[in-house]
Amino acid sequence: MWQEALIKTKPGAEGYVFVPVRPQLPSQPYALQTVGEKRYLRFKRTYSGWECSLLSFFYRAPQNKLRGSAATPGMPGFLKTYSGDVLIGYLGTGRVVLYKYKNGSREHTYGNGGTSLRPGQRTLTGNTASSPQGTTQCVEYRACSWLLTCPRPYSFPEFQIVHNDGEGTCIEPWGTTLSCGTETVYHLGAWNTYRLCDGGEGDGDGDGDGGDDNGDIDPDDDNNPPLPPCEGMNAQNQIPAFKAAQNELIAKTSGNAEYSYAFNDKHDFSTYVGTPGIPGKPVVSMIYDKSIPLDGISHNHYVECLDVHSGGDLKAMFDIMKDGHMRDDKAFTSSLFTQNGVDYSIMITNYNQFLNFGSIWLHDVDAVISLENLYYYDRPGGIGYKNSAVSASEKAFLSMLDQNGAGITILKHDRAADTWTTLSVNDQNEVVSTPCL
Amino acid sequence: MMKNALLLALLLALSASSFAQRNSAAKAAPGGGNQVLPLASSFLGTWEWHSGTDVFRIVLTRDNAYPAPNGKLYSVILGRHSYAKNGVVIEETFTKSPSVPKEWSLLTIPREEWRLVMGFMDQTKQKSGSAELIINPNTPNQLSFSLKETMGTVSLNTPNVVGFTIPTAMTLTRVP
Repeated sequence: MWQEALIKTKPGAEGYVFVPVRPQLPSQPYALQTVGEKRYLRFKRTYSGWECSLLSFFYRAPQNKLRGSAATPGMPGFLKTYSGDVLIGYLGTGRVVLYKYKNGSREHTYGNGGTSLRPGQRTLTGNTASSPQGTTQCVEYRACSWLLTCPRPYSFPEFQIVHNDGEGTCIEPWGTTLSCGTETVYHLGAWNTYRLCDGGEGDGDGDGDGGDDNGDIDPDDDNNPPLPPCEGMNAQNQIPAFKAAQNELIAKTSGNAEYSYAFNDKHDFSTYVGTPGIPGKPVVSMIYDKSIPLDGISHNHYVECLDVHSGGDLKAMFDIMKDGHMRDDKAFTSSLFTQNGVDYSIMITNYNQFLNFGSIWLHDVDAVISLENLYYYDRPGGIGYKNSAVSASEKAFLSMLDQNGAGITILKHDRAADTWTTLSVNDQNEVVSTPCL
Repeated sequence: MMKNALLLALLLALSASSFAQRNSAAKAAPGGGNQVLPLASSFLGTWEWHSGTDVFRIVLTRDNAYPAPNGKLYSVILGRHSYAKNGVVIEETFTKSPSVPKEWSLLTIPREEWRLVMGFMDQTKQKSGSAELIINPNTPNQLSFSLKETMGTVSLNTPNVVGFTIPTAMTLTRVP
């Protein structure tokens, strides 16, 4: 519907053209028949040319549970007020990414971090195409992007984006399933066609980059860059209520029960909800008002507990995130105060990575059991090795998060100086400390 | 025995190789790198505990290619259990379909020859626990089974479910 196209430009910057796509036209290329209730072709003018992507807005809840709503149905109000899920397929590369928008601005990226198609040394037909040279016989393949979801009553969000290749057609990646197993639903997102020829190679760009996106439906809006972990932790460290909860939890590490606090952004102690655990049991329940988004959680470990965050602790943070109870995932902290005089706080520094990590290891109790079997064992090298020094558990914990690309940064507390330090492991598997200034 | 050992070594080598390929800056591999893990074969088989008409039974088997959530394959010991109280089966996992991904109720990667720490799923309370299974080499047909809360079980906005459906301390006997 070119007559309804919306052109948005900023002086000296990139320009956008939004073209509504009428659904279900028989003559449409199949790539445009993506699921979704409202769709636009978006042409982005960059310094190197035009980039085309297809935006599918889910403003109802179809079978795959992607959803959204907009206060204003018509353009350009729709683009400014839409909140919900947007599936963006970059037609130049085939990369398909699921985004979540709020009031027209992108919040986060779902799926596996927007993994791009990587056709390698192949010729992309119709895109960056250049014919293979010296070929004698060619076979056409398709590099396909699939969105995997679970039907009701499985919980949202549970989905994954999978890429595969098929000869001449796209074939569902049956071998890849979500936790709903054989009930996994496969939605074809987009594809690129390429050819492989005997005696020659194509020259596709191979980098699979779907192109940068400024993150907004409406390019006039700005992104909110994430707070560096230190900045977020230092800010929280100035909140009297956080300090009071910290001191109380530290004092209670000498007891025989865990205690926890969940708190929100009002930053007064009345919003800190403390919960006692069960004496003699390394468990605690965090009770909080679900109607108020959380800023963080804190709890302690007594003498029989782990020196670092447990798999259950990681799951709690993941659950709060996926259930939408975090006010700001970039500033959310999960702090732990232990009987060994060592305190840690973990923060999400890469939302997509943490979502991916959680969807593998934290999405249910069984997955957490597997995580703890693999990494938290009570033997040398294990996070839960009782005879090790705290530093060994710390290193094992850091290595586990690093190996799995968990998207989490760990901060360590110096009680004497009341300062925090970020920890990481380098390529030699050595712990690196960087003080927060 | 030797065949099993070779198979396990091959599996571990393949696993480590796969990991290295996926992570160019390969560090310690999951589960302790390339250390040789024990087989803990003494645990395999059927074990029972009786107290009057109460019966707790577990069957432990080995799966040399168990897919972890990350898609990698590990050699694990899996267990199923049943618990009958006053002659009535309270819970069991033997009849769960193999097509259900989570049919097991006990799982571990063996780290010691005579001691297993296994994740345990209480079917009735739908909570996990940490089971410790110990065999004294001098009495290989007896197995000490204890169950405790998993470290750091955090529940959100729901009270902690206390305790387990099955007894938390038992001595099981091997069933020939």
